[in-house]
Amino acid sequence: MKLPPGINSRSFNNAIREFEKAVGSDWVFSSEEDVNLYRDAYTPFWNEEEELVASAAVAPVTVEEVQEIVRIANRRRIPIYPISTGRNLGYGGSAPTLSGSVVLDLKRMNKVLEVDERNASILVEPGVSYFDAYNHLQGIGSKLMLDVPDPGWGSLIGNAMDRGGGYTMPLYRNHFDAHCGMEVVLANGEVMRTGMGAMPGTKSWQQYKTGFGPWVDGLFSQSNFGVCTKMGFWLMPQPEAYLSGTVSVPGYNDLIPLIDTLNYLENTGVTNGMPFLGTPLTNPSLAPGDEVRRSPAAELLELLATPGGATDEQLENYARDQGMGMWACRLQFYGPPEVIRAQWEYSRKRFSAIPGATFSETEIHELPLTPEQISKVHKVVFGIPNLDIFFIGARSESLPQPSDGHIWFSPIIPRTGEEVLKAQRIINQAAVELGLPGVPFPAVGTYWMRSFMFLYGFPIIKDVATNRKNRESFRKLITLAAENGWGEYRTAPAYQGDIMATYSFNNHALLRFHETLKDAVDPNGILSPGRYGIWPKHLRKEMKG
Amino acid sequence: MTNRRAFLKLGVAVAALPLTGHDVRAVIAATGELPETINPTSVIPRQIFIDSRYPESREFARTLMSLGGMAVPEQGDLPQRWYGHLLPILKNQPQAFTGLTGMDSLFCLEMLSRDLHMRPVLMLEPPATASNGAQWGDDSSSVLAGSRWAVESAQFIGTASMRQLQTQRSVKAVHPRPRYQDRQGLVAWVIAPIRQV
Repeated sequence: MKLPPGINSRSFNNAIREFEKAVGSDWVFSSEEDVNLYRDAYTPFWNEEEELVASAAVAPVTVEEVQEIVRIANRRRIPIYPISTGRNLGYGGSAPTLSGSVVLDLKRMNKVLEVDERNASILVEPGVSYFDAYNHLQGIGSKLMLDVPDPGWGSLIGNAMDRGGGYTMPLYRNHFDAHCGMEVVLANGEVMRTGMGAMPGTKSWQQYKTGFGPWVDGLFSQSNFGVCTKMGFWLMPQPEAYLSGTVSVPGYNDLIPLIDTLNYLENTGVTNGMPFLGTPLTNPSLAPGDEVRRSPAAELLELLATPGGATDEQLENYARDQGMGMWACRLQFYGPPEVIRAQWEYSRKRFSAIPGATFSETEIHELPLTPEQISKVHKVVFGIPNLDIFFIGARSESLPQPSDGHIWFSPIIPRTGEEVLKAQRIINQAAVELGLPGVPFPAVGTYWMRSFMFLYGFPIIKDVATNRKNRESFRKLITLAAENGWGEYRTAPAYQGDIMATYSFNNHALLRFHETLKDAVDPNGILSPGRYGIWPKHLRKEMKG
Repeated sequence: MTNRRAFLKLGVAVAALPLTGHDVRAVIAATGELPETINPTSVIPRQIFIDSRYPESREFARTLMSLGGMAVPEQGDLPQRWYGHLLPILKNQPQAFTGLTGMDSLFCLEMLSRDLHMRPVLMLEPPATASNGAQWGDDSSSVLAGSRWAVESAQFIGTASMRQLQTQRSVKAVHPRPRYQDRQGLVAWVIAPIRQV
């Protein structure tokens, strides 16, 4: 067992006994087998000394128990690492950022506390997963729709606190932005409510976000300043219908006006669902028709393998020969049928300014969907949590040796075609030089308004040498991206310090501010030491290296 | 031809704590039948998770059901079967459950069962290789396409004695991964609680 730094066995065992008094011995886990359940399934340190592992776990069921655990930890200087469901795979799982920490497992706090049908909101505890919330809403006959990430087994609170995203309207798919009001246990054991929740007797905790005075909610996301025990979210009332349509453009550089037009339509609210953007050459969901989807990619691979890479013209010609556009964007609309048809018509009109643009209406559904329809659609677009994404990486004819997991390299890049093409070129070149799978076309994440996210999945394999090499490569990409002004929006614990170091304006003024806050609100540094690069004073010098 | 003896050389790994489930003796008492290979001290995981797309999975389930197990209803996808069927049962009475699925499904179930402090205790993935002492057949793809390994997996899971189940603590998959490329890899598995109930 790895103990927390500076804590001897006797002190640790005394703390464990106190935790047992607080929550009952059934809910304190310190055996090796139990603690192994908190390993990060996608850790890039698998079976290496540096792997971040917990010493124990404690699972409270009430806010009062959380308070008591925090007080004990504070008194005994035991680092604790709160998790909701611990399934933030790809960006870190349930393992702590400091080995030897005690995982504060909040899964037992799994109550949906309130659903306000008239004001379209939900108030939940941290252990409520998207599946739980979905089943709860279905069970009470609610007409509210969740926005879910993919996969949907995580917690609403956990995903929001990590600033994760979903797939419906912008107001809802930015999960932290969709929250309204939180309850936090501070490092001294005190409970605080934010926004209108700070007013006893308020009836608008989930209706008005900012309350009065400084709005502090953001300080608790991607940080280690408190333990969130309740959080409210705005939900989308189920729309009457859904429509998706695809616009395809023929030229390589048509990506530039395609994105400019998309930006206009999104920023004016004409298109209100999440756009999917990419090339149909490698993204079957953007290709028109089943016949084309099944077309072999061997010719394309040969083209891409041309020394010096394929020219723009070669790619355009290939796309044309396949009956595809070079680029495509699938727009999605939620609303009354007559309204979304009009929105789609207007969108077509705007995109028609791009010479050669073609259009296809992909799907239209009245909501709610039937069970048969649900089995065929992209479920997340309809707020239906699922685990289908794991089938994508499963072993198959095209993927005979799948990896054991992945970690996302996901820098934010400006929302212009020029910058997307530049990022693709630079990251692809770097990947090839580093011996990683290439990125022949941009993998553009369209989760957020106003910016894109470049997505590159680093494979995790249970092979020490490969993981060491990949970690080094990951760090090189972080540096390369930062040199171009592209910063990560979120990352796994292994790289949080590296990325925080790239947000270095004015001699790391932002990190120094974080550290000032940390020292003030958690002077003993017991809450998630090191999370997002924020180390407590007593570990700062040692851990920041 | 693989036989049960060869199977037991596979280095299967199981937990120190006994699998909870249906005592095979009760089945025998109820049916009056004693299969040739059955061990009277065996336990059978009662819930069997099937992926009906695969004939191996159906064979596996049929074999275990003949020993007293029960198939998890197949309606819906994996989350529905977990949240709608298995989770309530396991919350009420923690117990081992088994299945023969793709690796992706096993990974999902492994992660989900962590909530109940359960973990895989046995994973059997064809084909066996010389390195672990058994050979399933001359052609690994024909092994996968057939159902023999599935039946034998089920027989092992359904008839292993407590002693056999307690021989090792850690999980070991049968590696290296098979070389076939014609379809998803399948694995027979048992997931069980860490703590004895």
